[in-house]
Amino acid sequence: MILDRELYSTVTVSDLLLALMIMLIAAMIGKTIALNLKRIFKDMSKDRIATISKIIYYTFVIVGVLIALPILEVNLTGLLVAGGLMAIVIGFASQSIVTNLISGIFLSIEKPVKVEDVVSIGGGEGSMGMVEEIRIISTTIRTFDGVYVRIPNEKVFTNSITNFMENVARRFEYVVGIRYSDDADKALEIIKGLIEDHPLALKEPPPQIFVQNLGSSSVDITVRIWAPSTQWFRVRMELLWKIKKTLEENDIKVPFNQQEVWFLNDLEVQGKDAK
Amino acid sequence: MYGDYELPFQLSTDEFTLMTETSGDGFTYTRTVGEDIVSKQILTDTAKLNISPIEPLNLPMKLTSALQIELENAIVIKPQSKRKVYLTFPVELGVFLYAERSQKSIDIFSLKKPKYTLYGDVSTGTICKYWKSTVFPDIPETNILHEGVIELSIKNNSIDWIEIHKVVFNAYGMKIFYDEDLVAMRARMAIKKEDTSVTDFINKPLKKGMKKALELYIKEKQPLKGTRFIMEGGL
Repeated sequence: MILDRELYSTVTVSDLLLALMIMLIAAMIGKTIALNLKRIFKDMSKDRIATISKIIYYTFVIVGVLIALPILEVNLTGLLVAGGLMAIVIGFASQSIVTNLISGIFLSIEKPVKVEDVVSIGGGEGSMGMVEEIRIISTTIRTFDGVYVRIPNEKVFTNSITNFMENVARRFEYVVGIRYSDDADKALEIIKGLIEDHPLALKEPPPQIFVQNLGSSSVDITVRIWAPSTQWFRVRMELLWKIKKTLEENDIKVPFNQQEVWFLNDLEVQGKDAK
Repeated sequence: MYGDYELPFQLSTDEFTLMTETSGDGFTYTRTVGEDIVSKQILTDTAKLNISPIEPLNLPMKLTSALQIELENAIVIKPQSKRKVYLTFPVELGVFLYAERSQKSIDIFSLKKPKYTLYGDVSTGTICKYWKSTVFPDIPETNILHEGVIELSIKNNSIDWIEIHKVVFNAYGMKIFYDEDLVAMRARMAIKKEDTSVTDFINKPLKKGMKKALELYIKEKQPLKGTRFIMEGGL
């Protein structure tokens, strides 16, 4: 029979088919578990599910290969020795890849960033944006200008990371200067009312509105507001403009810088219409 | 006011107008609340429209599934006891279109101003929709287009007197019922200790004959979402 035909040594066609079947089944089990993980853990972050799925899938594939190879009379001891030597050579050649890979594993354990977080990595505007994907070797970010930035995981792991979304709420601050002749109490009330009216300016922690400084040209009112981290920029923009417009509607204005100059002697003004 | 309507129809109150007009092969849906106007083209020849009070967590955007009700007058409850009080909650009105077995929410609006707050601390807390309510001993009279009523059964399992200033609920557990005079939910609050309690809802109407409102926060679609809210950030 064709199944009993020897291919090499004592390995027959049936051995080959059995080995292939074992590898195929292992890969199928791995894939099924990986797919179901996505379905079961819908609430888990995409990057975490993807990493776990990949680990499970490749573990099953490797186990399948390790079971199948002895059937094909492949000596694993020899392979391991050869593999060891290869590993040293490849290790030197791909040092940075391995560093990035290990950093990627630690990133997925520590999870300082998640997909859709707004982060700044290593400071600077260039690496500030929304995390699009955390792969095993690199992390990709979409900057606010829509630019794709790929950062090797080693850099992500070793640099300082500012995650603007890690906490659920975030505070921002304005300094609003008004004229000395304006009613500061009225200005405080107006600003307080506008913050109360804005749905996304959080009730708790409460906003702070107070006169912080009597400046050379203005009475400086400090306004501190908490907003949900996902919405803080929108709230910051909307409220600043509303405060400016509403204060002006109430004849409370932001003054220009003023300088009072005193002359020791009387001044004589010369010119055509001078008085 | 709440319930099913055959297309086309028109519904006007002092505060809003809902209108569907025949237009070409379908209908034009228009909703007006003050200066806010929403218009949509519905491409169907037969469909029903349903107006229902829904979980008050959709406006101005779906930001959270937690509703925090701050109590205007705090509740003090004695140890190992059970009491019942009534609170109000803001109503959001959902307009649903349905034909055969499928339904679609086409519009959500509210006649109450939305506000958000943070329950707990900044790093571990929860963003909640905010509402302030008086604590009533009996079912209060409300405008069903503005406010609903929560019957809250409080069980103090601790050995201390407990003072309650706020209650937080999870939208995935909310079961809203309505009739011509009332929009209502029934909820439970089990106090474990001074700053920890668990809230959830009872899937039964407050009065006989009340109809169940349509739900947007459906637990079956989010199997890992619980229906309870564990209040660990203080009461």
